[in-house]
Amino acid sequence: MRQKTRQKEDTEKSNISEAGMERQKSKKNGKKKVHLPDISLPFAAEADNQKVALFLEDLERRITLSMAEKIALIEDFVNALKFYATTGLTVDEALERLDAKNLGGFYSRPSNTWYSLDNAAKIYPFSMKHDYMAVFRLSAYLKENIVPEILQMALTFTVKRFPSFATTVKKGFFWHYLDATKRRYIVEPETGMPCQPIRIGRSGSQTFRVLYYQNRISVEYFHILTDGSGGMCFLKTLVAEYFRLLGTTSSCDNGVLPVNGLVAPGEISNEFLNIRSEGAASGFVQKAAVQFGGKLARIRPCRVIHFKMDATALKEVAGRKGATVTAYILSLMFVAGRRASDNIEGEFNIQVPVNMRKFHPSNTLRNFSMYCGIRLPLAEISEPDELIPEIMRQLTDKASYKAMNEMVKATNLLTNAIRFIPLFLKAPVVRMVYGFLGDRIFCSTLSNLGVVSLPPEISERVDSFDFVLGAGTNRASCSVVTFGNTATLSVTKNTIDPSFEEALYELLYRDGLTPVVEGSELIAD
Amino acid sequence: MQINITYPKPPKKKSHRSIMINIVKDLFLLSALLCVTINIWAGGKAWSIIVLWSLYMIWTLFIHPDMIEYNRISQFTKVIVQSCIMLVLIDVFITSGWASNVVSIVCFGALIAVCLLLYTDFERQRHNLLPMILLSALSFVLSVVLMIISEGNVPWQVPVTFVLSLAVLIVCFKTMGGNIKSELKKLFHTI
Repeated sequence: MRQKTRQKEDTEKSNISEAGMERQKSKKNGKKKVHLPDISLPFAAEADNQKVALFLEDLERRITLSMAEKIALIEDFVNALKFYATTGLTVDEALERLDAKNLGGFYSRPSNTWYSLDNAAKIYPFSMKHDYMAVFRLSAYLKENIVPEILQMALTFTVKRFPSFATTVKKGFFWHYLDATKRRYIVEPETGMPCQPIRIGRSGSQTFRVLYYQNRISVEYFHILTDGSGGMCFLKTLVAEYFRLLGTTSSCDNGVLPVNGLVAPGEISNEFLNIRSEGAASGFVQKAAVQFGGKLARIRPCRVIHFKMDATALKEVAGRKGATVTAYILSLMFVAGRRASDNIEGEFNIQVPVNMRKFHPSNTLRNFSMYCGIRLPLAEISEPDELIPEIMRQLTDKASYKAMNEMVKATNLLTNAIRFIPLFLKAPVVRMVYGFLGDRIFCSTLSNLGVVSLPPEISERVDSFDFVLGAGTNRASCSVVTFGNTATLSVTKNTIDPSFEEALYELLYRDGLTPVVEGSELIAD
Repeated sequence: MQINITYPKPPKKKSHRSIMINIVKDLFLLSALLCVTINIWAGGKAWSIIVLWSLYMIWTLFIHPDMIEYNRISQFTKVIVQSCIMLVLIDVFITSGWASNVVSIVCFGALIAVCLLLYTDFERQRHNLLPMILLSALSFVLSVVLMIISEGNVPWQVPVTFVLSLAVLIVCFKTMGGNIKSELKKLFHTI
């Protein structure tokens, strides 16, 4: 043991002296070179460390960030190498996995691109408050604990493939926009509640965050960047890259993008502008809905709950009732909401996002979804099965191609109407209008991302996915995502009243779907 | 219903910001209303307008600051523009005849300061040019207007502001490098 420690110390000493000699050499040569602080190299053999030193020197040349960021980025590589060294991986293999080519010149070119916001994203900067921001979160649960050093490298290599994500929100004279930002994008350990506002005000701030906790990788996105589909593509690519760095290379299909591939123009396009819809423009203004009961918590969400259940059984139960999975869960939500409310008059209106890609095939990673509202009078809500025909009818009608195109047309008309008004005049008006419409017309949201698939090589190493909607002013919001045979229904709670989720659990249980319930602790005011 | 906790224990710190904002908002609204009422009741000069503007300044600078583009250049130019408006309001409603001189001095001082803010943290601040462009454009317009209405009797600070605003505009374009067209499109895009 002592011998080993001594050997390690000797190696470190030789590294340090090597670095010193290197410095003297470059002084003698008269080359002006910025030196990084001495880094202890991770491998035991001298020859291996020399290879690493050369690798780091090459790396240094490829990064033109500020000195602090440059050092941090190089330290990320060293940390990953240290991890590889502990696993017994050979230096050649480690360096191959971390090949600096994977940086793709991202960190060696100045940022000079920008992206105007897509028409759906334009509202999000206006709807922000100090304690609220439209954030959603996608998580992948692996069958093993996360290695933070490798996840950091996976993000470093992945982010360049998603240029519209590597951005900071800025103010233009007429609209906000996304300004490309070259920086070290970081992964963080998860500490607080999901979907907390992201601080995006400072120069070069990240507009998304990557978190890890035990076996979970989560990405929280400001909605301005992307919608669920784009966000899922990023998460899947990140997970695939993470596994590649751990030695499992997968094919680039099932929504995983090649991290070193070229960005297709369609991936960053504002598809709303490509829809030439005819007919009426409608869909925005609706009357206010009755909200579920309970006082809004000061910290929102105050709890997140996941109902994990057998996907086949869920589909089978929904099918038996003549419903789609979305319609079935909506019927449960209406009844659970009724039980969580003291009101007996008025209407519940549940927002259902609609992926426009199913009507207008597109590979855009930006926002490309609209929404519809499923509205039922409280007086008619008693048993879920009785609601299903009406929910199905409304879904077919309101989420149709025609209805969605009308809404896109309304969005485009509205955007066009105010495009020449300077931002400082537009902002207060839009904020006020959003205050009147916004969350008030809905009592909840159900977003179903559908079935997620991964390349078979890595699919077996992933346990499940979940999808969490950020907190608005509705008391509860639901989201569903299915991976393998696990469907995860997530509930974001903004009130401590547990009636809604308890009713939901009871209804699922009654239908024979015995969900495993996971979640966060409740934050009481 | 048994919930397995799969999230880290959240920190106990509570955000009091929203509560504070709500309380201060009520206080501000009350003060504003009182000032206007007293001013109307007591008559005389419209000092309540100055109070209203001061409250607005405190609100936007300290209580409810910008959530997007909160950087040294944007905040500095915001303070300057709002202060200049304040000076003009005092000139118009309380004592007149001095604002044009003072505002132009404030403007040229601000133009120099904003350049210092840019060059002392160039790598980061070069992405925050819009407030700088707007400040120099406003100063330019102001100095031109003052030169026209002064009818030959132009105080020294006005041409200095004129020249400095042009110089700062040139600095901005230089900072944009070879991408002036694209940068301007970015800052003034309408789609």
